[in-house]
Amino acid sequence: MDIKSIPPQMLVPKPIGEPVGTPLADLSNVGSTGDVGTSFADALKGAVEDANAKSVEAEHQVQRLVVGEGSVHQAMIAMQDASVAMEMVLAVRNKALEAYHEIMRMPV
Amino acid sequence: MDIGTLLQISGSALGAQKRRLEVVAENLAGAEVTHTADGGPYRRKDVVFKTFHDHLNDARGERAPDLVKAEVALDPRPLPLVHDPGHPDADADGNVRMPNVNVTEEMMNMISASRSYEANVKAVGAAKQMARAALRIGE
Repeated sequence: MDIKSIPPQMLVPKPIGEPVGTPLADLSNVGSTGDVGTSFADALKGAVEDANAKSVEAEHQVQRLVVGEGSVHQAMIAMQDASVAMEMVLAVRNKALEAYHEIMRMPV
Repeated sequence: MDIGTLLQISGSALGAQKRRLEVVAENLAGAEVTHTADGGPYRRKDVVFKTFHDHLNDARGERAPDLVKAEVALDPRPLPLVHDPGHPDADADGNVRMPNVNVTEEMMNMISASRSYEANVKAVGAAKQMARAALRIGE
């Protein structure tokens, strides 16, 4: 089964909390360096890569099933893992878009 | 949100129950076999469930979950002697060594295996539901 064969670095949670958790003082240089923004992009990119790795793995498991090597439950579990990872990415994306729209609706 | 570990645990148990069902099927198929490749009648196989650790989890410095695997062992119970002089494998007294498979017992093991499999599928479903519920927090 190879949820295991995903490289370990893919499975280590990406430091989503880090930039958010830093003191507010850091926000002073948002405009100049874009530090916080880059971190969010990195976190999102990491999550997308993770979801992609899982869906590639699911595809691999289904291929194994079709050629008679894997088993049904392994393929289904890999697919569910991929689906949940994708939903996680979608939730983050929706939240980010929502925030953007909220700002766009701000009366000037 | 690491439902990967949960899925890994339930997945290992599903694999073990599947192996158990394979062994039950082998036993049912061999229930009347008096002549195997090794000579002698078929001997019943049984599974022993064991836990093991995945070393990938150790490397990640996480608490390694106990994963389950099924190992196959031979049943040491004696082979019954049945009087059947017309049987080609009968000895000089007309007795035949039959496999030590009890079909009723195998049926019970089959039900047990499929129910355990279902229970583990439920655990996978619960893990998935929990992950989805967590994502709904943001809605």
